[in-house]
Amino acid sequence: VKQCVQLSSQNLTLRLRSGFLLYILLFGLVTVAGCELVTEPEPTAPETEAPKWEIPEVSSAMLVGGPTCSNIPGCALALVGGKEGCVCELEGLHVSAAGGLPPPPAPGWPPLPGWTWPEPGVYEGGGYPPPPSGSPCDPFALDSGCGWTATVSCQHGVLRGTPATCTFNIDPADALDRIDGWTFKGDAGNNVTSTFSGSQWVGTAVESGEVTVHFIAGGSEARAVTTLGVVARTWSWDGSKRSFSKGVSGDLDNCQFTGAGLTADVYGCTATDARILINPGPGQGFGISQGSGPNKGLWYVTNPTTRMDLRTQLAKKYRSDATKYPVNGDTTVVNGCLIAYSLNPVPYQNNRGINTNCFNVPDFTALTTSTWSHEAQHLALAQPEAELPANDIYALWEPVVRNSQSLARTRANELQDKAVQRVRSKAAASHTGVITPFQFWYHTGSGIWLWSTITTFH
Amino acid sequence: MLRTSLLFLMALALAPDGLMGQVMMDTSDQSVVLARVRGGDESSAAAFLSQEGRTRSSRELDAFADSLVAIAISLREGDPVAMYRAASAASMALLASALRGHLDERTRSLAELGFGPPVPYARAYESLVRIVEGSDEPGTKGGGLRLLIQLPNVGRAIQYLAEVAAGPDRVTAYEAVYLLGYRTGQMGLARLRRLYNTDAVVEPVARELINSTAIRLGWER
Repeated sequence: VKQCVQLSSQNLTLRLRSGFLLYILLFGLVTVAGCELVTEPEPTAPETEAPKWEIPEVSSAMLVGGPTCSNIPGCALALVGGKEGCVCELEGLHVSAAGGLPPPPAPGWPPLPGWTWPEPGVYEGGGYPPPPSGSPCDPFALDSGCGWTATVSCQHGVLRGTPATCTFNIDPADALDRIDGWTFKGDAGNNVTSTFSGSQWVGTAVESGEVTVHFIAGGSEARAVTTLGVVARTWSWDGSKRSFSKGVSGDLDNCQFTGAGLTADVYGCTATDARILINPGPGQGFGISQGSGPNKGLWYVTNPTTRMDLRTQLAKKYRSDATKYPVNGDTTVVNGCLIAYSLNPVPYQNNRGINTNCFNVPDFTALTTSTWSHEAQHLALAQPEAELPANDIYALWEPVVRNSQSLARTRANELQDKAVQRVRSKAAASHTGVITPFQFWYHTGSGIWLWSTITTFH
Repeated sequence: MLRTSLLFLMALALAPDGLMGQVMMDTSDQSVVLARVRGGDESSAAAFLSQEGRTRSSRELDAFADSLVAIAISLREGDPVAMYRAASAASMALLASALRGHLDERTRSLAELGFGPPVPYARAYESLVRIVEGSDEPGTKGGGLRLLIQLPNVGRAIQYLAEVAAGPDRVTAYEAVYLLGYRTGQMGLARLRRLYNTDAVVEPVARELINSTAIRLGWER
């Protein structure tokens, strides 16, 4: 006898005792993907018999890492609606279950039962199983069975760092005894607890998550649940906040030069630290603020102002705008300038003047040329690295939400530090370790011109 | 859900009046916590390591720290932003698990929820050193040194920086000289000067930095 059976399906959501949710698509009888050949007709259940639901014993341990179907007696791993899930044979019923945390409520999803099934066992009934005896009412069910209906709603699409409102309503209003508090379960694992007893929870939103109102109505404890949706700010360390150029007279002159040239942030570097590539300096250029309402106790990054204005520069003492000194002392220097200028006394000179006006010293020109070239290499390497998305400090900062001010600040510093380090490391790749000597006339600063050997490190 | 409810009920029962917004991390599922680290968020990993709300064995903590080290130093194909975020979060989790300011704040928050203080993870320093020595990525290596000096017992970090400064790796040698010269106070400067006096820094770029620091500070051999 060839017997093909197909019955209509019912949707059912069960909240298991473990706290995990299994979405169960319960079929009155499975849609058989072929027909089964049996020798004898099997007895069929009377049409009037109510369906049964089996709540298997599922512990949290079984579900670590997601529902492990093979740990549920009578179940086997299978694809359910395109997702990994279970197909089970329970009490003669075929049950398919797709595991995992529930998706946010959306149109078309069945309402979430508000009660918790107390014990594993077989429950009978049609449609949604009724709440077990003694359970609180279900504020979300179409028929709550409580004589009142409660809802809570929060805003979605809230820009991080802007105000959001969650509102609790109960109808009729006089059914509410009191609100015991609100909780927030963030998507990043932050659980916020508050004894706030108002019906409207307002605050600065910084993280998406689940908001729950804990209340007493009609003498029973109940909960109402919804989600708060926060979206990222459009933060980017774009071209308006970064610039790279050859320095002009004055740029970087107040910064510490340890060699003939320098590439650094024109506003960030200091007289004691020329390595700074951003302005304001490390650990600055951002704020840390605290969320409030549902997100009180969570800290996030605000007001990014970090810029990178890299300039290259030749040490002022080798430039034409350097301080000029009297030409005296060494007779070779004095005579060379007298011949070049045909004036006595000759005009004051700096290093560039002596080596290019009074004399034509090739090494001096070579020093300045190679220094500009070397710094230009740093700049050329730094710019593309700084423009990489991986080093977009603003984008790295945007999602930072932490449960202490200290951690939020430390994290923001760390992200900034590492991005700058990557730029610095890339820019330093032009260093070959070669030390080159240059010989020319050099003013010692104590009024003496000396034929000197200056070495540069490239 | 049940955990949240219990936490809430405990908070109501134990907390003083006016409890407003205290945060407790959910660290019940280690795989979820590690997934958050891979996503760039170290908060729950730090809570796990510092045993917020739950005592853990040193074996469990060390195994978890090993997982963080593996995340930080493993080479991954694909999106470098995601890779940096993950490596960065893994390193930061280790720092945060022993970061004084963070633990102080968490102590206050946990107390309001009726829990004891977090316990600094005892092997944060060793784990961070493993990241510095095991990573090939400049930001992770150099950044790891910067995290070390924020841990308690900066003297131990300074000793390590001195060893790294005298080593051949450009990124870490240069960074170590910089941190000794600019970020670790007089103790770091004293150690740097000993390196200078003994001509111990050999990596050329790091050597140039220590020499220029010596000039700035007027050191003579």
